[in-house]
This record gives sequence, structure tokens and C-alpha cells, in this order.
Amino acid sequence: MAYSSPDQAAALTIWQALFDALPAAVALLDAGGRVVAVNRVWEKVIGPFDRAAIARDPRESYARMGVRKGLWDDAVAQRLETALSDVVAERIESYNDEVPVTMGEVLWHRVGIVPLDRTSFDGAVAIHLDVTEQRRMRLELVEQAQILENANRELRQFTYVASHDLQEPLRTVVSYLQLLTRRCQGRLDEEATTFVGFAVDGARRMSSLIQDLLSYSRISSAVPKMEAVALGDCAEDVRRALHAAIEDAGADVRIDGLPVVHADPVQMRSLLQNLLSNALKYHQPGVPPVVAISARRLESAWEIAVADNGIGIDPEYQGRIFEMFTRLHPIGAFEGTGIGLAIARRVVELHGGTLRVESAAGHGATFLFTLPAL
Amino acid sequence: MTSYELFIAGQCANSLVALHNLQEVLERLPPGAVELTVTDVLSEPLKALDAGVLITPALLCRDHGKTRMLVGSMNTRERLVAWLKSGGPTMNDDGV
Repeated sequence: MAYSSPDQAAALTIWQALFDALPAAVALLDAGGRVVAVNRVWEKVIGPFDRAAIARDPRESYARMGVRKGLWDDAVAQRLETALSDVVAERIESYNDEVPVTMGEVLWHRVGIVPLDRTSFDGAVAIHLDVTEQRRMRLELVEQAQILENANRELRQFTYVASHDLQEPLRTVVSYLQLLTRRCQGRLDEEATTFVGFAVDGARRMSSLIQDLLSYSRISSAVPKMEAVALGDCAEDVRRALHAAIEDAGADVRIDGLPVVHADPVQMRSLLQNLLSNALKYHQPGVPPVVAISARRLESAWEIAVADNGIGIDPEYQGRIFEMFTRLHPIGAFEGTGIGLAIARRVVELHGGTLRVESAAGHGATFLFTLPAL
Repeated sequence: MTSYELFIAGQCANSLVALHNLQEVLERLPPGAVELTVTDVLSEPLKALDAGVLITPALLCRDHGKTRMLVGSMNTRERLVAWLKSGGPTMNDDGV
């Protein structure tokens, strides 16, 4: 064809170069779905522009051309034809799907059919991108995730059943040890009585561990019942529940400007109770605990801080404190089994957030967790 | 005589608008001043390809051995008139 100016021919060359440089197979389709121009990748992958084919069958669309070339079957062609006609008729904005393309072996192409500027032109652009490898990796990931999910579910079930079933014989051991102490009073020597005492303490401690394991298992397998939760009210509930411990420690608990979040209210109370209990428990000897619960708005989340003036945590140990049954102090120094923070972290994770700590030994600790903003 | 060839795609929206606007503009010219041919690329794809028309609507203007092409952008009469005036027959801003 003739061009009205050399500039126009130069512009066309530039656009063709740009078209050819695209890392996807791209074809310009007329409103009837025929290929009227292709880029270099399309030539390599699907085949060159074929004027003779249009001469043979002027009504052959790009979708049918694929069938003739053995690239895809009738079902795929039908999908592509429908998509193309829907895009051209503005019934859909654009089409995007993965389709199998046979090229010796079956490859997967992500096919996009997008309209040309609808305010000026009739027609569309077809884009093919080979996603065979990504698809294989994605399917592998899905499969791995499913295997992990199954393993986790079985593990949670095992933990629940095991801990539940362990409670009963343990209760029997404790009961009979106590019965033995009562019945044999005066007949056991001092050493035997001490041994029985150790056995009862050990059994009680094991019972606490099992109870905590059950709590963790319940939290882990529970699906949060999400609703709008005023964290300020939750924190007040927790302060009331821990009233005795607060009084005993002479603590000052400040709750300031907590938001309403989309969360499970029971789990939120459990989370705040674990963090507040911790803050009260690990206070500096002779220094009344001061605990501040506050919030800060991030871009798409809330960050809640529970800050105390307690004994703090050495940075060396901060990575371990969220692990189950991890204690940084000898048994007996502080009450508890060391599962509270593991439960807290699990609750936050179930809500799509993260839990971390900022602290230095002797300088208090601030536990920070995020929750998606409403 | 200046001859115009409008390439459209069946009943597609932009093609119909282009045809309507072009007919309206050309009707205001004196009889016999221009010649208009309409080609539907859906039924005559090779004719379009041979003319270098890949996208519709497209308007070819053949005048004294020179060929100019307008692709798309025929959705307002003003734009169409501006293009026709830039190299076609004499007409005022109203296309007359």
C-alpha cells in the first residue's frame, strides 16, 4: 500500500519492532476473529500469518485455525470463539484462561483476548503465553499444600486424641497416689512420703501440659468465627478476668484507643489474656507492673502493642519464646507450662496477622501483633 | 474525483458510527464531488488485506494517485471533517 508520508512508514516500522519485541505471541484479530497481523513470537509458536488460508476459507477464525493446525481441539476452539465474540460484542471486558496447546507434547498457554480501544476500533488482540512450567510448579505446590494440610490435620487430630486419652489414666494415677497417701498415713516412712509427693507433683504437672496441649490443639483446628470485635471491650473483659492477679501484683493496666476489627471474639480474648498474663507474670522484682495496650494504624492493618516494664527478654532467646512448651526460666521460677505465647501466635496467624516481640533484658517487653483492618 | 473506500466490520459499533458519520458529511458535498465505496471486511477480508487495512473502521482516500488512510477515530463528525479537509475536497468546518 502507499503511505501519505514517509513519517507514517517509519512509525509503522517502529510499531512492528515493538510488536516483535514482546515476549508473548501476539496476533491482531479483525472483528470476525481472523488473524490479520502477528508478531515474531506468534510466527514461531503458532505459525506465520497465512494469507492463503484466508483465501481458502475467508470465514476461518483464529480459533478454527488452531483446530486445522492440530494445536487444540474443538472444545477449546468453541471456548475461544465464544470468548472472542463476547469481547467484540462488549459482553465481557476481556478473556483470560489457560488452554492446552498440542505442539508435539501438550503445552499450556495462558490465552488473553482483549479488545482494541473500544471507543475507536472493532477487533481484538489475542495473546498466548507459554505457562507450562509455571502450571506444573503451581500444581505441584497445590499438591504439596494438600499433603501438608492432610498431615497437619492428622497431627492435630492425633494431638487432640492423644492428649484427651492421656488425661484419664493420669487422673487414675493421681487419685491412687492420693489414696495411697491417705490410707497408708503413718505406715509410710518420711522418704516414701516425699517420693509419693514428687510423683503427685509430676502427675499434676503432666496434667497441666496435657491441658495446654489440648487448648493449643483446639485453637489450631478451630475455624475462627469472624465478626466485628471491639478490641477495647475485649481488653476490658480480660482486665476484669485477671482482676485478682492485677491486684496481687499492684499492676497498672492501661487500655488506650483499641480499634474494632474483624475477628473471632473468643480467640481475641484468649490472645489478649495470654499477653496480659505474661506481662503481669514476668515483672521486675519489687517493681509494680505497668502494662499499656494500644494500637497503631498501618496501611492495611492494625498493629496492637502490649508493652510492659517487666524483666524483658534477651534478644538471643526472642526467636524461641513462641515455640510450644518453651520456658526461659527454671520450672518453679514462674508458673505455667510455656504454651501461652504459642497459642497467642497461632491465634494471630489464624487471623492473617503476625506476632513479634521487641525487648531487651531488664527493659520490659512489647508484644506487637497485626490484624487486618476492616 | 476523490474516491473514498470505507472498510467496516459488519454491524460492529465503531463501524456503524463511522459509516453514519461519513455518509452525513459526504451528503453535504455537491453531487458527484466524491465517490464512496463501502467494503465489509467480514465478507471480503482479502480486499481489506490487499489495501493494507488491518483494523476497522478504516477510510482510504484516493486522490490524484495519492492514497491516505484514516484508521478508527471516526466517532465524531468534527474529527472526520478535520481529516477530510486536511487532504480532500474543499469544505467548510460543517463539512459543506
